[in-house]
Amino acid sequence: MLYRTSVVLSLLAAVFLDSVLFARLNIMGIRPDCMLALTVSLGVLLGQREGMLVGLLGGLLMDVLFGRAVGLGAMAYMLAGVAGGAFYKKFYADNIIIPSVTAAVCALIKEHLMAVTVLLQGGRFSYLEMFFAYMLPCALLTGGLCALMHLLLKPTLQRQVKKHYDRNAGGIR
Amino acid sequence: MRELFRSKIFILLLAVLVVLAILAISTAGNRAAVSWAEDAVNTVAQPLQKFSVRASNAIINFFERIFKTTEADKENEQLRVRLAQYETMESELSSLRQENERLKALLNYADTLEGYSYLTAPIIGRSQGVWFSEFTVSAGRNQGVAEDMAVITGLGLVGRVSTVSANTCKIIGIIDATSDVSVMVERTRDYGFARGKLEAGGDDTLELYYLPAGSDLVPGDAIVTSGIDGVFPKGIPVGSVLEVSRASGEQEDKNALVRPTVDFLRLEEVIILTEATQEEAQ
Repeated sequence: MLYRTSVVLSLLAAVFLDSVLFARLNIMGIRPDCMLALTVSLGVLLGQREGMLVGLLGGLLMDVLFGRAVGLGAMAYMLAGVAGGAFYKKFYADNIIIPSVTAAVCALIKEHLMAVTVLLQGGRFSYLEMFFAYMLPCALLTGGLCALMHLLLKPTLQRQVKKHYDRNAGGIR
Repeated sequence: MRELFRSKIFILLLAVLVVLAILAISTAGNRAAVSWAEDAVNTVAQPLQKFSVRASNAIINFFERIFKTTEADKENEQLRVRLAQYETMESELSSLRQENERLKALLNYADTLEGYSYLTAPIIGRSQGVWFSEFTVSAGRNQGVAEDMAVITGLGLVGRVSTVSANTCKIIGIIDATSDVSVMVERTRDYGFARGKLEAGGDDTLELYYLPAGSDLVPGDAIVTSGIDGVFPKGIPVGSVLEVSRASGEQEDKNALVRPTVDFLRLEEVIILTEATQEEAQ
């Protein structure tokens, strides 16, 4: 129960940080993607299925509340959850390099998905300028935030996750 | 590879991705009404969003106070320390006063909109990232908001309503790279189009297109809505010319860069022009 509550609270915190706080507090528009960092971290900690589910729900919530099209963000966050889950139980849980690099790569993929959507809707921009001055710094920030989130989430969820998997026949996925 | 295609999670992922892609394509445009599920999510989340905005404003004000560096600000800070016991009350009062001033400014401007009925509403959320400039506002169908209504502040044009749910709506800002506004140069009365410029660096600017050849445009010229697109009433301030790139003006080419009159980063409340009265409609 506590494990589920922690996940739901983390999701709500990510929604708040992305849509309200970082929307106003950012450096020249550069901001981390909290939902993506959270999804990757939870994917690494809980596995692909959970990562996918958290990404899907978090993404849909963001899309419905603040997005241009419902499903666009959900696709990116769901892929991020699955990508994080690919490293589940393959590395030591203390390893923060894996989640942060995964988050940075997923953030770059997500930004490209958004860029393509803007182009399809008739928007114009300089790709190189956007890549070096916005996409790359945002991806790096997201990677850094994911490392921080991973450090925070691991001890919070560890005991609950262990119990959860012990109950489910040793948590083999 | 074969193993990957046989894995349940991969098949599930592909299926959900296809569904989401179809959903995204079908919801990408303007929608007069949203589904009941979106309505329910928006209604449940609205109080939480309002609370979040208040909390974030308090956090932002705190940081702004810390990073103020002029002598007057420092002196002000010292005085604040000496009057520590009044600080909490002072902060609350100051916040209320600011809100009061903003609302007064909105109302003063709204009073000039004789031909329109309007409502004011706070912004409770913004889209993530710079790709889209979309705002979620705490007023919806139940308050009389409908698709394509013009949204303004006391300073000028903000955008138009794109999606409406029961108690909230989404606004596409004029700084959005996919948003076009029919505008007019106030001094020369030349017509053109303004479109949001997507660029890194957090600068909100617009690009001015399709001015007639030989248009005499100079930096500082005021740009207002032309009223011919049927969405925005005529004469609402849009921005001022920052830089003229093609004074001669050829079709397809950008004519100028425009700085919007509205500060989109600090936007907190907006006016939605809900209906043209009969007089204005005629």
